[in-house]
Amino acid sequence: MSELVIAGQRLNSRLFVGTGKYRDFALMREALEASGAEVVTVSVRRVEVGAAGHQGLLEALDWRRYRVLPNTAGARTAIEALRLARLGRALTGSEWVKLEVIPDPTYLLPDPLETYRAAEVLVQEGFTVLPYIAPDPVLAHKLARLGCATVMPLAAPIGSGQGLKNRAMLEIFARQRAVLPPVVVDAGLRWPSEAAGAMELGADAVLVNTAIAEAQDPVAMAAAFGQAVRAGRMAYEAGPMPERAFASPSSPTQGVPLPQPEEPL
Amino acid sequence: MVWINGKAVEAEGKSLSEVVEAVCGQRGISLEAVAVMLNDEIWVKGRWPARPLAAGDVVEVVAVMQGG
Repeated sequence: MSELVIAGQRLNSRLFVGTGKYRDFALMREALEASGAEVVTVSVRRVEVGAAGHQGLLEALDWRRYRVLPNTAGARTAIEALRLARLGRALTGSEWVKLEVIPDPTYLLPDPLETYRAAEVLVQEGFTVLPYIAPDPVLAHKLARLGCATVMPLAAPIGSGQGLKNRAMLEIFARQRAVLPPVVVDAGLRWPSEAAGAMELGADAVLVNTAIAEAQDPVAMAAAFGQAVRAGRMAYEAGPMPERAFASPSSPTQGVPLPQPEEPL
Repeated sequence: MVWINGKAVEAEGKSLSEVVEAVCGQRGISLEAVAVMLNDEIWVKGRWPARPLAAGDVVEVVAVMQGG
């Protein structure tokens, strides 16, 4: 299986995972381990008492084993995203940022114009920008021309578990992958087969959070996603058989020991 | 008033260190694990400026949290 390279960094897994929504840190650690993922997303939040998910993560994971990818979740505008990206870089020491600019709380759809504006500044400031976008190939090309390290089109709304709803658009991304940076399908998956499906289309990687964290057994589901992403990539590289309109027998058609038509039963 | 993590607090004259240590101490988070934004400037790992806070200063004490 070929290696995934993003911004010159070789990655040992094509599955990226989030750290949100886990019941506790021990379960999260075990699930991350089972997933085999290297790239792990985190958010930047105020230090507050008793807020959900507001335990410090920096000391909860062995960051020598993972590549931290701070996100700008919570940003509704480019200005807010820049602030979160700079804080994320200060906190983690990583230049990588998952750029999310989301004004809409119902569907959590990203704002293409504000994302573009923020990406332009962040690239100039030396960030390695991984923008979360609607599956719009035109926007993807424009972000690629800015110097974004990946594009991250959404499969379905974040945390919805609706699966590969945007399959037709993701197929266009796949067909254009020669002129795009790595395509990381992000958000909305529920089953590992959907992750495999995205990889079979030609996606370079898949990012999963809720489908693992909210599974009844997150550790087993993390392992399943890890295997599905590998299987999907291997299948993509192996290349599928041609599709036919009619059936084609797999067993030889000659020499079948059938009774003569005139032989009585 | 000084704005600390979105709340107005009477902290004029206090040092940034005092304020950050109080925030982190209450939450059990080490000073090494937070970044501090004073107005538009970012500071990390305890290397925040010594100047006393003034009325209208905006302080954000942030850490890496769970997220997707």
